[in-house]
Amino acid sequence: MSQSLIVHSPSGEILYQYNNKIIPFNDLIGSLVNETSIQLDDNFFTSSINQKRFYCLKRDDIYASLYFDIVTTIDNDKIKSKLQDILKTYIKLTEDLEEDIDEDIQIKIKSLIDHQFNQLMKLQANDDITGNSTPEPVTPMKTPKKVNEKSSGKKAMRKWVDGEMIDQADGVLDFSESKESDGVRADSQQLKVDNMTFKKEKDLVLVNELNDILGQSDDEDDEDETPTSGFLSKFTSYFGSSIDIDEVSKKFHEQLVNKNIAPQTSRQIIDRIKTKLKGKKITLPIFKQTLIDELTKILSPNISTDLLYDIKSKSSRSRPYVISVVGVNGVGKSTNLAKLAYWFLQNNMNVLICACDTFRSGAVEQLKVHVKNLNTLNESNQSQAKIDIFEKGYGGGDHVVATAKSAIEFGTKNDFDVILIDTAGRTHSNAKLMAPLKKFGDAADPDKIIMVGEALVGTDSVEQATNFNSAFGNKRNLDFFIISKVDTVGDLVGTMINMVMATNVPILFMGTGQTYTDIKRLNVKLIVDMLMK
Amino acid sequence: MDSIQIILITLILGLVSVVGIYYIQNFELKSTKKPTFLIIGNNYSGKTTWFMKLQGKKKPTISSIEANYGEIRLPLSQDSIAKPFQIVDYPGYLKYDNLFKNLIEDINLKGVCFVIDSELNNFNKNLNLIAIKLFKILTITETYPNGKDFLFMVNKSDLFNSLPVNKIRTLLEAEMNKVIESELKNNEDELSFWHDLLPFKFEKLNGNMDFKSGSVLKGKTQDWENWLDEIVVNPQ
Repeated sequence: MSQSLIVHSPSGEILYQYNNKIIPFNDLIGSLVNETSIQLDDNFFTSSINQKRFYCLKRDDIYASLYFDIVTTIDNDKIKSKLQDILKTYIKLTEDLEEDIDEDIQIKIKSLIDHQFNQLMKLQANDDITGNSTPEPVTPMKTPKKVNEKSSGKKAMRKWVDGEMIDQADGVLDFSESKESDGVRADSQQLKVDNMTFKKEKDLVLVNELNDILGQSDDEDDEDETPTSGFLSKFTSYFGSSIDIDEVSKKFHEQLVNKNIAPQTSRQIIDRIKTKLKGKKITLPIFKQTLIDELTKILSPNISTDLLYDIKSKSSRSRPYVISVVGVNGVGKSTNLAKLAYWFLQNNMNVLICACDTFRSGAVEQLKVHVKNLNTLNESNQSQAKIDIFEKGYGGGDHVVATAKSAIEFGTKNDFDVILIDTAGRTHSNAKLMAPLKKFGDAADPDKIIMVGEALVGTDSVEQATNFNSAFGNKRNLDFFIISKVDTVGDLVGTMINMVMATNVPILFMGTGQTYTDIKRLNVKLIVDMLMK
Repeated sequence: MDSIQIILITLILGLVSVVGIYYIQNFELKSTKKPTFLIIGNNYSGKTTWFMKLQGKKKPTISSIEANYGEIRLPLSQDSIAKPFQIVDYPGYLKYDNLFKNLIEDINLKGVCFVIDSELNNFNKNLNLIAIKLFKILTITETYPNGKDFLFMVNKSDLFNSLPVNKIRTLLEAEMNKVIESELKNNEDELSFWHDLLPFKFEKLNGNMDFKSGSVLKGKTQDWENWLDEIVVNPQ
């Protein structure tokens, strides 16, 4: 059973650790940065990697993250409230301090947070034993605040040395006092103490201390956004110093939608910026810069897009590098496949094109024409590389899988470096057409699956990308996008954002014209400039 | 007379305001652009640990989500003449690589610490990514007159299977050649200066490229500290 909890800053400094198992958290951070984690709530994320389930809560630029084995389950809400409490404990204990946190406080923090984490883990153990049949003992973390505020003043009275309280009498007195002041709370406290089988007075005090801290009014809830109306603010906003965030958000939202970004995607982006800028002084340039940064970040690939490098590094295998191209009808799968083939030829690689669109009449012939053209071009370039086509005519059912398999066999025997598999275009919303993709993916096991999407399509692109991404089962995703027909949309390139946001799959190339060389690598800066124009 | 006076006053006012704006802008530029050392590198190479070490902290770290800003006094060896310098520890994630440019425009870059994990397996696995990152940052820094100075911090040299400095330098040079060749195929204008640098050698760059081994965790950082001091004491 492995489990751990850390409190850390966004800069990577670990402020508190439950045990020394901190390396797994790097995976969590990776998923946070690459936005592959699931956002359950504001600033509350979860992610499952390598048989571990991670949770992460952010508040005031401090993160609390924990993980445990994936087999055990605890209610998301319970984890959230516990993480909230932990962060609150940490912030409360350190807010009055300067840079250096002395040892006493550190020990205190450690003991308090350890206690809370143990509680949570015990909760889980109880869960496993009773099988969720009995309700959990309600932890009195969210007791009425009004009453607790009275007792909070006592906190400073206690003295701690090495995690133990010197002033025992005071502590006991304190406890009874709080009992008097709030019967219900003390009762529930007693209940919890029984449940957790706490016998030592030290632990009792710990619980007490904790309740004191957690009972204090939460700054987060009280956060009042003081309205900045009035003559002076109007005057300063005239000079671009402070602005109404909602108004600006709306303006930029409209702009993004005008650039062909789906409304829900645009809202998501704007919301992210709002959370990022929360509590800061916002001016128009700052808002704009944050938006530019965000769009840049979205479009930046999270893995290396150096396909040639990947192919070369895998060239020692007996099998050629298999790439299959999928997409909706008429987006330019075959055309972009031919462009890719030309690119590989230029890089001295032997390319075999496999015609697996055995459905649409003329699809095989179309590829044959491409191969013929490419052959002519290739000869005029006096290149050493060769290109060929592999086809087995038309047919339904298993014919596709059979063709792909024999193409790979053929390619292996005849020393081809890359096999490009063309597939039939299909409507993403038709389950009957999408289902064979999984079978195809399992049988051919392509090294890379590339989806071609056209820049012309609008809001539907989100669904297209999502459906194709999930079509290969839960173990396989798309690897790259090629966005075709970019030259036809001017600066309305929002489709790219739609597709990347929906799936976290990076864009490999853009198709920008009719000839074989009109395939360009994604230039993030250029696209972002177009979107912000 | 009145009209002439008005014209004169307008002229003087105009001149004063232009000069005023010029000074304000210049002053602002100077005050916001702090002299800075940038710490970059791939994930888990030891950037944040080095950043912490420079500030005299020794704490366990995990992967950074955001850039780290800190201030240290350099040169380290002589506190009497030391001045404050900003240090920025930039996360290694590929997602952030296209945001480099904004950062570098915002600061007065004095030098770049490029942290490399010299452990054999990690280095071989990440070699391509290291070269790509280096390519991206050099594309920005080499546009400055005289370029910017780089320190390649060959970290984790205490491990038994760590690669020696010379080996890392030659491997990286070879990899850079490949990266430059494949990047130049994209025909982007701002990359054209790389044509003159082929075949790639670190000596051909404008900035000084120093490779120094050490280990942050084991405290073998003297060479790196000396490099920082050297840059501060003897600016180009």
